[in-house]
Amino acid sequence: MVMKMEDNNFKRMQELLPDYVFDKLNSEDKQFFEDNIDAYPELLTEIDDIKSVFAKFDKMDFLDKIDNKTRNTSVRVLEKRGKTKSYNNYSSFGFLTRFALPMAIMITLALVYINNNFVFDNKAVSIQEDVSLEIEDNVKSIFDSSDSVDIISYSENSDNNLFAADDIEMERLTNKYQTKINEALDITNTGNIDQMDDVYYIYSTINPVAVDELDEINEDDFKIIYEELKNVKVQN
Amino acid sequence: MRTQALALNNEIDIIEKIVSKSDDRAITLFVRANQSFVFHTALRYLKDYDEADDLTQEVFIKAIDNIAGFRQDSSVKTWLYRITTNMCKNALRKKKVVNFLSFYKKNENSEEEFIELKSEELTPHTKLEFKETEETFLNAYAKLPDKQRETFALRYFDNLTYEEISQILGTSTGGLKANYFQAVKKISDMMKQYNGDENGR
Repeated sequence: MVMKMEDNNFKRMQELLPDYVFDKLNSEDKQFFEDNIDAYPELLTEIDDIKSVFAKFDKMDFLDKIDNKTRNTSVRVLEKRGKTKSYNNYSSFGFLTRFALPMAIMITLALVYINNNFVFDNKAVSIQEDVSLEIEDNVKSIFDSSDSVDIISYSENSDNNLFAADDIEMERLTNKYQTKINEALDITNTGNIDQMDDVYYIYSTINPVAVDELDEINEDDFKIIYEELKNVKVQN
Repeated sequence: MRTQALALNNEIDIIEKIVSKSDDRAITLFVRANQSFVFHTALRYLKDYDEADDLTQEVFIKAIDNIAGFRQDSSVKTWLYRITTNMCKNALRKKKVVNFLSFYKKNENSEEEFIELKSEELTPHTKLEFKETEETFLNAYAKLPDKQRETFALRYFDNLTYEEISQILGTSTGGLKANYFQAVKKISDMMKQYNGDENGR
């Protein structure tokens, strides 16, 4: 029991020894240590050894030199944080200006270009209604007014006039007719009249009655008409 | 104890200011109060002054960015210690990979980096003596077992209480005191031995 107490005491003295050497003990522990140190001469030797070694070490201001490295740490931390914050703000703003906005502009331009330069199927068929009516009236008048308005006899006419009507009137109507036909052709965006379907559409728009008559025309006659239509001149 | 309690209250005030206003002055105070501790810890792991310096800054940036999540169930130093050691371990892992991939060869001329001492005030003999003392101390320190080395550093260099060290290292205060005694004794014995060898020449 006594031995154990002494062991505990010795152990406690050992635990207090470093703080005693470096003067970090509170008053109570310091008093305890000084009251009991004489009982442990080996600890006295330890104290002297540690003091001499660490005294040399303290002379070097070792810790001060290490701490000099951290002198400006707070300034550098604030600077780095500032840079990180502004980079994060820039990056989200940067994404908008560098990618999203140009992409939106490009898509818009592409849509406008497509809209203006490509015609879709439903446009090929339609023609302005007022043009259609005018053409119909003009052609109807030709069909109705003259006996010589005969599609079949057209083939015998080598003057490139579409209808055998009064010359002057014919010329006037033909010019107008040519213009309208050309306009209708432009609307279909075919660029030429090689397309039989386009001719059919033009005729059906101009005069629904003529469509029926077209259906009665035989193939050879229709080809002739078709060839003549090719010679339709654009009026400037 | 009262001084420690006051210091703790001040630190909590500083943290609250950082959380609520991101106040630069509060951040400065926070960093200054803990920079030595973080730097010493980083230096022990990384063994390079410049790397430890860089990592110290990164630790504080991370801590400040996440300070709202500090729950005050441990001390600030314990919290910073954990951040520092984790970042050091990551840095060492990266270094291993980089060294492996780049066939890194240590500069043959480089020796352990020593701190520049006050050169104007010291004689060449004293400078040499200090350099040798420092080298001996670092060698002795490096040979300590991990727990003893950490206990010694946290108590001797960072002046933490045994209760704070116990929170950090997860060891009882009685065990820490024993570790501290053993560490100090070993360093002292090794340095005495070196000095004895020098004197014997």
